[in-house]
This record gives sequence, C-alpha cells and structure tokens, in this order.
Amino acid sequence: MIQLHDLTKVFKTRNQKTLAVDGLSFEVKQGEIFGLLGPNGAGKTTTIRMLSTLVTPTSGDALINGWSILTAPENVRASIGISLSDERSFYYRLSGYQNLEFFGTLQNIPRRQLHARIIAMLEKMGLIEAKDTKFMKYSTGMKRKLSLCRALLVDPPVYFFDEPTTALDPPSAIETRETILDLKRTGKTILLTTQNMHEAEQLCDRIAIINKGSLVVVDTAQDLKRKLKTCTVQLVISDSSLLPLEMFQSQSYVDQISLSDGVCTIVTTDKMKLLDMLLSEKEGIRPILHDIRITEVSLEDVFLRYVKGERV
Amino acid sequence: MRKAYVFLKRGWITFTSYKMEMIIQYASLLLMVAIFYFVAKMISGVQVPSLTKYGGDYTSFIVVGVVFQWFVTVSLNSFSSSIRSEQTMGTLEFLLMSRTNLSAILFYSALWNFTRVLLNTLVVFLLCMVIFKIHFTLNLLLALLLLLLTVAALSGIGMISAGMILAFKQGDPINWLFVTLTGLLSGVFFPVEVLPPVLKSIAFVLPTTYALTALRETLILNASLSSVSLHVAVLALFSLLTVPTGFFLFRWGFNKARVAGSLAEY
Repeated sequence: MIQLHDLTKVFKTRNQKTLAVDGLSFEVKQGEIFGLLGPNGAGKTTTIRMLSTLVTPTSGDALINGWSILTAPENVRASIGISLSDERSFYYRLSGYQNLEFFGTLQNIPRRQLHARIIAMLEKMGLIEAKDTKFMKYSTGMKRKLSLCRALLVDPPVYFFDEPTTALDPPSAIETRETILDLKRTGKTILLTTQNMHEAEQLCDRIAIINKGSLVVVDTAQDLKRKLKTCTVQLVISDSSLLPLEMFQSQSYVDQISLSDGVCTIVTTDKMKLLDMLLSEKEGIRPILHDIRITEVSLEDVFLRYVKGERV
Repeated sequence: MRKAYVFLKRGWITFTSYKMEMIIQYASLLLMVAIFYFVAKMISGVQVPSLTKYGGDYTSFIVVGVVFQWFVTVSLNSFSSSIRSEQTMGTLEFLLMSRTNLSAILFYSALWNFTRVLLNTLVVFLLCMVIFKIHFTLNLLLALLLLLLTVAALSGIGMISAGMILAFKQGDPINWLFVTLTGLLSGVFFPVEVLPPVLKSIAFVLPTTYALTALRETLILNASLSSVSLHVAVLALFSLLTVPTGFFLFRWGFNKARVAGSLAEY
C-alpha cells in the first residue's frame, strides 16, 4: 500500500547541503500500522511531507495506493488523510465546526454527508461542546484533536499521523490510539511517527527506526527487543563486600555490572544462566540475597541502542 | 460553487469579527466621498478643459478613478497577499493537500478580496447617488465587462507575484511599479491629458489607462461598446498574454517551493 524506493531528500541553502532523508526504502502493507521512530531531526516529518507530496524528493520515489508521488501527486493526495504535528493550520476566527466545514468542502465531501461526519468526528474526539467556539480559544490539546478530526473527515485507504498524541492529556491520548486502532480494523493503512515508545509498541505492527535520515532497522517491536538479547537483573543484597564481583565480570553472558546503595545491577544476555549461577549451592550468593528484580528490555532501550549506533 | 461559497463565508466571518475595523472602513468611505464632493464644489466655478471630456464634474471623475484604483490594487495584490496569509496561518499546506486543484485554490483564496472591493464600490456609488446626488449613467453590463477585463489583465501579473511569494518568500517589484504607475499615469486623480508628452506616451503603454478611460466614458458619458472597442481589445489582448503566463509562473513557484521544502515558510 505504501512503498518507498530509495527516497532521498537533500535541502540546499546558499552555503550548505543537508541530507535530511537518505535512501529510505521500506514497504507498509495494507491494513498495517507502521511506526516511524527516530530522534529529533531524523527525517520522520520530511518523509511524511514527501509522501504527502508537499516536498519533492531529490531522488527516489514512493507509491501510495499504487500512485507515484512524482507522477501522480493528485491521486496520491486523494488517497491519503493526514494530521501533521503543527497544531496551527486552522483559521483562528472560525469555529471548530466552520473550520471542518471549510476543509471538508475542499475535500469534495457532499454537503449532507459532511455535516454528519463533522458532528460524528467532533463527538468522537470530545469536541462537540466546543464546536461553535472559535479556534483561537481552543487549548493546545483541542487544536490537536481538531487536526485529527480533519484527517478523519475523509475516508481514504491511507492515513499519515505525525505525532498524533503530542500535547494530548492521557484520556485523550488513549481515545486517539483507540481511534487509530479502529481505522486499522476497517482495513486502513497507517503510517505514524511518534516519540512515545509505549504508543509505538501498543499501536504498531512494525516499527522502523531512522537516524540521520537513514533506515536503521525495521521489525516488530517484539523482534526488535528480542534482537537486543539483554535484560537487567537487580540484586538487593545485605553485604556488598561479600559479593564476588570479579567472578560475575568474568562470565561471557554479563555485559555490564554496577553496584550502588546495596543494589547490584547486572545487564546480561542470558538471564537463565545468570540466575543459575546466582542461586547455585557452591558459588551462589543466597545468604546475602534479599531480593531479585528482573527487567526485560524495553523498546526505549532498543531505540537508544540503535540510535547510538551500538551493534546489536 | 460550494467551494467559492466556503471561501467567501470564511472571508465574511473573519471580516465581520473585527467590528471596529468594519465600522472605520465604511465611515472612511463616506468621508472619502464627502471630501471629493467638497473639493469638486470648490472648483465647480473653474473651467477645467481636460475635465470637459468627462462631463466636467470632478466628483464623478475622481470617484470612478479611485474605485478603479482599488480594482487595480486588488488584482495585483490579492493573490500574493492571500498566499502569504495562508502561509502565516499555517493553512497553505492543507489547502494544497486537499482535492481541489492548484489554480482553483489560487482563485478562491483571492475571491473574498475581490468581493470586498466590489462591496465597497457599491457602497461608494450608493453614497454618491443617494447622499450627494451625483449622477452616473450606469451602463452596468459594459462597466462590468471593462472591470472584468481589467481584473483579468492585471490578475495575471498578480499570479506571477504569488508565484514569487512561494518561490522567494517576498513580493516582486512589478506589483509596486504597476500600482504606482497607475496612480500617477493612468488618470486616477487627474486626466491623462494634463501629463507632459513623455509621461503621456508611457501612460498609453499601460493597459490601466485604456481601462480607466473606457470605464469613465461608460459610467459618466454612457458610451457604447463600439465607442470603447479599442480599449476592450487592448485589455483582452493583455489578458490573453498575462493570465496564462501568471498561471505558468505560479505553478513554477509552487514546484520550486516543493523542491526547497518551503511551502509553509514565509
């Protein structure tokens, strides 16, 4: 449904060239929620802007619903609904309803259908009470919600959401995520960017991590975590002087070890072997062990490792 | 038509939400007509040969000139100012991503500005006729044709300017030059006949001179289409040249901004 082929963007100014997106290639299947993660300036928004035909790529191409962003931009625009992270983009002196009526009309939605859709969207996003309030009186979260309403007014096969829950309070963020999952249930294809790892894990079927414009890895959240092969084991101990630190460090499955305030933190690639050793009769530390806490690797750990360029 | 309506509705809501500005604007129109009326009254005993051609009444002469200048200005500026306004509001990208084509967006965006000038014109003519008892012959169809051709001829240049705004984020000097030259040379405030020969020859290169002369003859002297046919032909020719050029250069500016990734920048 979405195919990127070596998509590249170089921004040129008088004195310098900036490589914003460097040969991105990946595919998003129909009905899939695909997350684009990356640090600030990684090229996520530029990628979405290229895919929505607002920015022309320097080289490469992308197909949206079978249409090329280079040769059929009108068809691409007719195939997408989009919510960008900039919560301005509305007319300040028009109400929420009037703004949606304006943009919905430009999307060729028939008048009667448009009214019903606007009301349904405003109700869904909890803005119905504020439908006649001028946009300039909206809070940041309300502006963000209205932007989502605008994206959802149309019924295209593909949606792009650029940081859809930024500035939303927790209940609104949960509702927004539910709305995105509803879209997936109806077979829509969704490409979203987010800085919220929990959100990415909760929503996305697959995740691409990009850094400095380049694709670093694409996989499911589960497999990304599995690839990292590490977990953290914390040992709460009564006497740290009896802890055989050197013996721990000599084990091949121990990556890092640190000791602080009676808590020994060990990053390991094989927690079962580590636990075997810790609890063994001969070498174990049972007499001084008060508690063991095991923390599995998080998507945030994966993200940080990949973005820092560490080998996984 | 629905799209034109929502653009007009947007313009109307925004305009009427600034109540004080609206009141000041219409009060200014009344004041302007009153000033022209009293200036005309002051010079009413004086013989001005160059005015004779236009019926000898200065109020009707200047009112037509000033209204015409509004249309010149709005034709030249409204496209670029609308684009700039959409950029500053952050709405331009969403207009361009909609299922409405580029030319239509450009046209609709400027529609409210033209409508506002048309409304102001109607108010001024009503004030002239009702309060100051100034007589206009109102060959309405011919006057509208002339205004339409003037707007078309100058809109081409306005579209070029809008393309420059997208490409370079600043207006181009052609607009400024046109507005200034029209005010000075096309006979807005005084008849072209009073200009020295050199300026007069420049005046007759400007399409606005033909348009304004024809408009005055139509509104003040009830001229027929055949008597202003030369002026109509000049305006039509100018429109044929500038409108396609304007569209072409606007699209060029749009594509340049897409390559630079600067559509929303201003």
